[in-house]
Amino acid sequence: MSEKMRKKNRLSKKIGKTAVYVVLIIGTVVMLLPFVWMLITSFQFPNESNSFPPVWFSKNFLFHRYIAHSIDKSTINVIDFQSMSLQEWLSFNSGHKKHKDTLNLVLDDYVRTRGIMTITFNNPTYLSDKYALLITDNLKKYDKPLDPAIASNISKILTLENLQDVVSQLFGTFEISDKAIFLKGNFYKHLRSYLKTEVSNLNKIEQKHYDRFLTVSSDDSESLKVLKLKARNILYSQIAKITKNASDLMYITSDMKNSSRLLKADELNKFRALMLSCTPSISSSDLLAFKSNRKIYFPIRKMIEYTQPIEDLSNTIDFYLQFRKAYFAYKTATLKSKVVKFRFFTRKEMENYALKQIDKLLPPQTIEELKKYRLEDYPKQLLLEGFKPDLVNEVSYIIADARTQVHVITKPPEVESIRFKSVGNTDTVVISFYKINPVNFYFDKTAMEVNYNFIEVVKNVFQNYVDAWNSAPFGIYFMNSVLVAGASTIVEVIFAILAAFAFAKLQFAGKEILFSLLLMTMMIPGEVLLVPNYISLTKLGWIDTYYALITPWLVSVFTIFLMRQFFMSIPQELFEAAKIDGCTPTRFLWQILVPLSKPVIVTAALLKFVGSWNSFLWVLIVTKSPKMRTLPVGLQNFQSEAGTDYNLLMAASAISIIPVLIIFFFAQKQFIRGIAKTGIK
Amino acid sequence: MKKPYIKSTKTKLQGDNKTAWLYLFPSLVVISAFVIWPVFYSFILSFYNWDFKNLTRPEFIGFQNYAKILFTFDTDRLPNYSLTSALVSSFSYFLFALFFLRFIDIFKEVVGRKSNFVYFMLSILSIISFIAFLAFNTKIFLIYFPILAITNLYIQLHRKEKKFSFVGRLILFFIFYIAISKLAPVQKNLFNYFITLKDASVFYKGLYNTVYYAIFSVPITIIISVGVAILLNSDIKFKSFFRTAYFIPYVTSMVAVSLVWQWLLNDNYGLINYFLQLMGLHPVRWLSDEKYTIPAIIMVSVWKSIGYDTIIFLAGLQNIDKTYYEAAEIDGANAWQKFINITWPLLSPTTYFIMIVSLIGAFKVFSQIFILFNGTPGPYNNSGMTIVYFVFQQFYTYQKMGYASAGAYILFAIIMVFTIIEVWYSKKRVHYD
Repeated sequence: MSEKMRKKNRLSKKIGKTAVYVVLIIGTVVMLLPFVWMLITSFQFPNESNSFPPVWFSKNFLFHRYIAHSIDKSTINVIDFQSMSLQEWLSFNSGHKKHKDTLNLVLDDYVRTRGIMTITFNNPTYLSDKYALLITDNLKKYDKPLDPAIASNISKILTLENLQDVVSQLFGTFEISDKAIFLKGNFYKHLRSYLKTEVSNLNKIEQKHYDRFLTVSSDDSESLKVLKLKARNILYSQIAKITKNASDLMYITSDMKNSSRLLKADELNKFRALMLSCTPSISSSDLLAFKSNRKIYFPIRKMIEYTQPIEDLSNTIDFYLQFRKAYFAYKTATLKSKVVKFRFFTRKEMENYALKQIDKLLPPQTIEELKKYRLEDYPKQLLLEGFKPDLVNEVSYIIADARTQVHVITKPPEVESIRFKSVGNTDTVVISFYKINPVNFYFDKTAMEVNYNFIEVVKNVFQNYVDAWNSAPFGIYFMNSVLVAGASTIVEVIFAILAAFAFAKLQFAGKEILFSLLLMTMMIPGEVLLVPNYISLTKLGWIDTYYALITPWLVSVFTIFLMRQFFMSIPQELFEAAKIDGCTPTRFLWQILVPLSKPVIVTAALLKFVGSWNSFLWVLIVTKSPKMRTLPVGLQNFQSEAGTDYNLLMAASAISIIPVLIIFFFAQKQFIRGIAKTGIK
Repeated sequence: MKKPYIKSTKTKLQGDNKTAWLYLFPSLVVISAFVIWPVFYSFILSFYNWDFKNLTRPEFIGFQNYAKILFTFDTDRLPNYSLTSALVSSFSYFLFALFFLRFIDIFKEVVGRKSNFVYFMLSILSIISFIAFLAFNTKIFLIYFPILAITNLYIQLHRKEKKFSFVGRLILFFIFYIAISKLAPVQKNLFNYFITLKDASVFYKGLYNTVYYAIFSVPITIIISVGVAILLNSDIKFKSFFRTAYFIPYVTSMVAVSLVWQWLLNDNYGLINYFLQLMGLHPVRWLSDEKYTIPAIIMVSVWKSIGYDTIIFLAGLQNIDKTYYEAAEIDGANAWQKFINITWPLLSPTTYFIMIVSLIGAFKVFSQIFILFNGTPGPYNNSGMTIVYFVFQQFYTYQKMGYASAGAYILFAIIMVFTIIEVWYSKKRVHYD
C-alpha cells in the first residue's frame, strides 16, 4: 500500500516538474519572442517583412539564389506612327539612337548590390538582318487588306530602314505592347465591336434594301424575276447564317474579356475559321450574275462591304501567323555565348570610377574640397560654390552613370555593355546589344542568379543595420548616449559615496532630519519637476547642451540610500580604529570603505548607467538639435523618418538595445542583486 | 537600523560636523536645485498663467488653472443630469447597500430574539423607504436619508459579531450597490457620471485611461510575476537562464521595445494578429481602433515589467523560512494550501512594496503611448490620453507652464492619495514577521 502510494507520489511529482518546465519555457518564449522577431525583421528585405503570413527567414542568409525577373516591355513597345508628324517619322527612321537595343531585365525581388550576378540565356537566337530583309520583303507582298485599325501603321512599319525595328514594331503591334491586338482582352474588344456593327448593319439591309431592290414586280422580265428571287434567297440565308454565327462567336469569346494572355496560333486559326463563317459565301458565278444588275447587286455589295472588317481582321490573323512562323523559322543566328556574368562595383570602386571621370572636368583643389562630402552630394556642393549649371549637370550625369557601372566578367561578344540601374525600389539589369533588337530575347527564358561569398553574406545580413546607421546620425546619438550615461554615472556614484558616507559614518547635527527629508523627495513624481527644471535650464541657457542632459540627474536619493545601508553594515569599529591610527575620514572612505563596498558601487553604477541610457522624456524635452540627441530620442525621431520600413526600424532598435544587453550579460549578478535589494526594506 | 553603539560614541565624534557637510554639499546642491526648489516653484507656478511660447509675463490667476483642468467641460458632451443629483443618488444607493449588508449581518439576531423593537421598526422603515425610493424618484431623499442613517448607525452600535470577513463584506456591498443602482428608476450614478465625463474633458479622459490602465496592468503583472517567481524558486535546472529571459525586457529601452511592439501589433503584418489567426480568432486592429488602445499599452507594460517584479518576488520568497513549509508538509498540506496559508501572507510585504511602486509607475505611463502611436495620444479621440501625457502635451506642445504645473500637481495629489490608502490598508493586512 505505502509502496504504491510512494510510486504514485513520485509520478505526480515528476508530472508536476515537467509542467513547471513547460510553463517556464512557454513564458520564456513569450518574453523573448519580441526580441527574436526584432532580429529576424532587422535582417529581412522589405518584401519579406511586409508579408503575411510572416516569414521567419531572410534571403540575405543565402549564398546563392535565383532572382525572379521580367523583361521590361517598354523598350519593345510599339510606336504609334499614325500620330507622328513627318518630321518625327524622318528622325525616327534616320537610324540608331543611343542605347536603343537594350534588353531591360526588371528584378521582381530585392537584391544586395554585391557579389556576382549571372544571367543565363536558354536559347539566345535572333533574327539576322539578312533574314529580316527576306521576311520584310515577303510581308510587303501581302496583298489582302488588313484590319483598318492597324493597317496604315503596319505599312509604315514595313518601310522602316532598320529591319530589326520592323520585327520589334510588328511584335509590339501584335503581341507585346499593352494595346497589342492578339492579347485575349484586346482581341475580344476588337472582334466584338466588329461583330456588333456587322450584325446591326446587316439588319439594316434587311430593313432598308430588301424590299426596295429585290421586290419582284409584275413588270419584271422572267429572268430578272428568277435572279431577284435567287438574290433574295441568298441574301436571306447568308444574313441568317452570319447573324447566328456571329452570336455564336460572341458567346465563345465572352470568357476572354479580362484576360491579357496572348492568343496561340491554333486558337487564332480556330477563330479565323469562325470569323470566315461570319462573312458571306457566294459562288463566283452567282456573284457575276448579280453584278450584271446594279439594283440587285446593291444590297449584295452592301453585305460584302459590311462584313469586310471581319474579313480584314481574319486577314490580319493570317498576316500575323505568317510573319510569326517565318520569324521563328528564320531566327537561327545565336549569341556566341549564353552567359552574362558580372560583379557589382563596391562603393569605393564606384567612387573611384566617378572621380576619374570628374577629374577631367574640375580643377584639382575643388575635387579635394568635394572629397569631404558624399559622392551623391557633389552636384549640390558644386552649385553652392557657384559652378555653371551645365557643368554641374555633367557631373551629376557622370555620378548617375557611375552608379550603374559593374565589372563584366564574361559576356557574349554581341553584348556591348551591361549596367545595373536602381531607381527607387526597382532594380534593372540593362544589357545593351550591338544591333540586335531585344525583342529577339523576349521569347527566351533567362535565369538570373547571384552568388555571394561568406563575407558578402555577412554584409548582406547586416546591410539593414548599415543603412539605418547611415540614414540618421546614429553615430552621434550613440556617442551622446555613451557620454551622457557615462558621465552621469561616474559623477552620481562619487556624489552618492560621499553623501552615504556622511550619513552612515559621520555624526552631525540634523542628520536624521536631513536623511528623512531626502527620503521624502523620493515620493515626488518626476513629472512635477519637469516644468520648473525646464524653465530654470532655459534661464541658464542650458537647453540643448550636455549640461541639461547630465546635471539634473547627478544625484539619486535611492543610490545614497542603497550605499548608506551597505556602509552601515561595515562595523563602526573599523572607522574608529582607523581614526585612532591617524587616518582622516577622507582617506578611510577612499582607501578602506570604497574597496570594501565594491559590489554595491558596481550595482549602483550599473542601474544608473542603464537608467540613463534608456531615459527618454527628459532628453526629448531638453534637446532640440540632432547633435544633442541620445539613442532613444534619436530612435523616436528615426521612427517618423523611416515610417513603415520596419526592417530598418528594427535594425535601429537593435542598435540601441544591444549595448545594454551586452552590459547586462556581463554583469547579470550585480544587476539582479541590485534590483532585488530595492524590494527589501 | 539604529545601532546602540552610535549613541555611546557620539561624544567622541563632535568634530565630524564640518567634514559631513562638506561631503553632503554636492548632493545637497543638486537636490536643492533640481528637486526641492522646483517642487515649490512648480507649486507657485500652478497659480500663474504663463504662456511660454508667446513670451508673455506670468500672471497670477489663483486657482483658475486647477478649476480649468477639473471643472471645464465640453458642455455638449456632459451627462444629462447634474453632479449633485448623481451624488445624491449614489449616496442613497450607498446607504441602501450598507443597510442591506447590515441587515444580513444582524438578521439572525433580529429573528432570534424578536425582542428588539427598535431594530424592527427601523428595518421596516428602511425597507418602506427603499420601496418608496424605487416607486417615486430621488427627490424625497430628505425623508429616507435620516431613516437610513439612523438605522445604519443603530445597527453599527448594537451589532454583536461580524458574520463576514472584510473581503466578503466588500463583495456583498458591491453586489447590493450594483443591484440597487440597476433597480433605480433613473440611472444616475456617480460612477456613470465620471465615465461619461471622460468624453467632455481631455483631463478626465486621461484620468479614466490612467485608472483603466492601472487597475489592469498592476494586478496582471503581479499575478504573473508571483507565479513565475514561485516556479523559479522551486528546485529546477537552468534557473539563471530563465531568470535572465524574464528579466531582459526590463533593462531594454522603452522606446526601442515599444517600436518592436508597434511592429508586433501591426494591423497587416503583425505577429500577434498572425497568432490570433492561427488560433482561429479574428485579427484585431490593435493600434488603429480606439477600443484596443489601452489593452495594447497594458500588454506592452506587463511584458516589460514582469522581470522586475519577478526578481523582487524571488528575493521575497527566498526570505521565507523553509521550516514553515516543512511543518505544513508534515501536516499534509497540499501545494495550494501551502501557497494560500504560508507563501502569500509571508510575501505580503513584498507584494505591498510592488503594489506601491507599480501603482505609482502606472500613474506615470507615457513613453509607450508616445512611441506606439507615433507621438500622438492614441489613434483618434484621445484614446490613449493619460495624465502624464496631458501634462506633457500642455507643457511641451502648448508651453502653458502654469497649466501644466497644475496638472502635475493634480497627478501628485492622486498618487499621494493612493499611497496613503495603501499605507493605511497595509497596516491592517501586511504581515511582517
